[in-house]
Amino acid sequence: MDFGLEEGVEGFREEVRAFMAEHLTPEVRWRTYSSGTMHDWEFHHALGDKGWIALSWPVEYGGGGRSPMESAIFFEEANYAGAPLYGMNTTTGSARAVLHCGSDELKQKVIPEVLAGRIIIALGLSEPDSGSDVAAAKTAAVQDGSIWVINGQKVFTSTVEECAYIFLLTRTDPNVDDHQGLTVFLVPTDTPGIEVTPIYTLGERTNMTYYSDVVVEDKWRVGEVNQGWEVLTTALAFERGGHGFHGHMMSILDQTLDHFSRPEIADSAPARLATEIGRFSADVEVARLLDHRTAWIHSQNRRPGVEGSMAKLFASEHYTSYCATLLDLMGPDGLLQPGESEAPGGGWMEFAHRYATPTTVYGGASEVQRSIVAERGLALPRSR
Amino acid sequence: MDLALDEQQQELRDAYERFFGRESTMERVRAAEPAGFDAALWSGALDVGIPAMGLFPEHGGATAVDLVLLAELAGRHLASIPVVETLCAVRLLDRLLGTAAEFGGQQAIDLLAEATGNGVAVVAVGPVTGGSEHYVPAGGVATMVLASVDDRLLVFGTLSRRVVFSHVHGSYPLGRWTFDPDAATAVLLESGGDAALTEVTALWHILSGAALMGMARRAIEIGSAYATERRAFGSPIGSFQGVAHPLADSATDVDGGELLVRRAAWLLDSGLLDEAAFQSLLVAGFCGSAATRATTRAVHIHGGYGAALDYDIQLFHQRARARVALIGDPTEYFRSAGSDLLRTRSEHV
Repeated sequence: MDFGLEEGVEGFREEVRAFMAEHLTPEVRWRTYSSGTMHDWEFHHALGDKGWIALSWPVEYGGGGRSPMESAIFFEEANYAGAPLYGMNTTTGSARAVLHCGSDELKQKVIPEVLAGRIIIALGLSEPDSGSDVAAAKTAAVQDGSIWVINGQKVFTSTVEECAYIFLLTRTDPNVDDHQGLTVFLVPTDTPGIEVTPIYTLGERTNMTYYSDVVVEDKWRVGEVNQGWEVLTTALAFERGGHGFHGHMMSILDQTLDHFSRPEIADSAPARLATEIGRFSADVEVARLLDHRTAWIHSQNRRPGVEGSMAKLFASEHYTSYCATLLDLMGPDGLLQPGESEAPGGGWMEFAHRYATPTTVYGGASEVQRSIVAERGLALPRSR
Repeated sequence: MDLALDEQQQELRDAYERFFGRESTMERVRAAEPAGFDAALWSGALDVGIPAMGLFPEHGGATAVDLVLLAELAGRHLASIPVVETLCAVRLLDRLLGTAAEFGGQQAIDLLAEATGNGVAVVAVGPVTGGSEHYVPAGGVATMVLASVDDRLLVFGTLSRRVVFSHVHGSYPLGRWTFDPDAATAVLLESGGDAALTEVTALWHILSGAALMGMARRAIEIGSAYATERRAFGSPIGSFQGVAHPLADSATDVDGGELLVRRAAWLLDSGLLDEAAFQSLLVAGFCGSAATRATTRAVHIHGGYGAALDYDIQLFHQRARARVALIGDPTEYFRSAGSDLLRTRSEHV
């Protein structure tokens, strides 16, 4: 048993830190904050130049060839620094599905652009009536010779305003079980019939997307007809690895310590303040270990199932709950937002409280993760 | 990073799993109540060399990570013997044997022989003022207590004044000893034992956390099995999210707590004492609260039967609660860790 990181990993961490210090400028952070789009082209191009878009993909696919642990460290540091990564994350997941399930033509058209950092891809999965229950999608694709006609609606299509494609989950056979009869298309966002309406959330901009008689050629299909669930599993497998989410927790802990370490407070810290900081620091350690465990499992060429759910569940739940506690501890100071010159920590502590809110939902809601742990980890009967 | 047990650790765990599985059945655990001490199990533990594992590896003992594996199993099987307590005492004696000028020769050999043989050696964790009374872990069955009295490390024997309790929550063999320096049977160190005490205190938190995670994991297994079998409103109750999800949260806590414990032990083995000591505060806080939550949930999902003495699940709850009380309030550990972090940060400002 060895909890030390492999040789070279700490060196890579330093490299990531230096990259963030250089490219994640206050301007980039302010730009993403004020637009709400958790993607920034200047920053993304820098990632592309560095070869870090598909960091953990094998080199033969054009990826960075980094180990699962190096990948975990990248996300840990990127999240710690507050990097806007939604665009990159939805892109690499979808592109991975294209890589494994798409036609050669599709791969050649899309993958090099993705890896160079020139395009990003949005996820068109959730619908107004189906979120965690992804397979209940109703958006219909009907075949007509060599084309498909798509009609429907998707919600939470984040960063689509900057995307070249939507990785779109459609229903192609309404007469079979939910998980069958689904087909995935990579739909160019400039196709006529697509309408985008922003949804402004607590800390971000996402979108509603409408599809009215959108005509898509068959060459944009990813995987076989009615095999969309298999395609999706390939993409989602990369959304549920833990992903260094605890970097957000490390960041808010650090900001807390900075804020409260003024000598007049630190020398006689109220018991409640010290207790909450201590409790959260244990949660951060545990979240980090659960996340690194998923990386270690990947490095053994196994897939973290239950372990990935545990990492995601633990980190997002404790992050969200601590952000609420932190506001209690800070009082009115904690209400000052970015842009307010007196705001502690530049207002990013206030932002974290808003940013944290949907983290227990996207990427698989906590309830879904708990059911996975209960059913697959504890062998309990199906609870959904 | 490698989270797998190596071959030798796997063998060690299998061997102790077989030992406790055979010698610490729930019948035996119940038979040892209310004293909380199973003399036959203790004699079996001596035969398989459990106390001597507390020695450092170079003296024929084990790494802290190995001790964690042992403590997890002792907790899992609710072993009615002071495994964690004894390992800490043997470790402290072995540490001093190498470093303290006062501690050597025949006396050292005799004390170590007693601690790994016929005696039951334990540590009174934390500083003690001469003449004061303190609860001692396994103080009800200990024959030798190591204590830091007014900064001197002393040994106390059964001729010391002590109170042995026989009605204790979770049948824990609690005792309260009086530490009169004049009654000490040996001096281990006249002064300067800070590092040794820090080390043994960290080990105490880490092994206690390991035992708690062992208890909690088994309690969740028992609770999950019951929730699969027991039906209400036409379905197994484990198919209700209100039952399944709290168990899933606790299963997550236990996986996390186990990693936290093992990493802290690895830090000790790696000689990173300060970091291990800080992490051991987090272990005491996290594992204490996680074990209470897990065993409470496991009892609760048994419905009214959870409180019935015939059901094994209450044994896990009571023993976990007793051990948490013994280690100390988890909230206090969090406060202490938080104060450390704030102080360190303000010094760097």
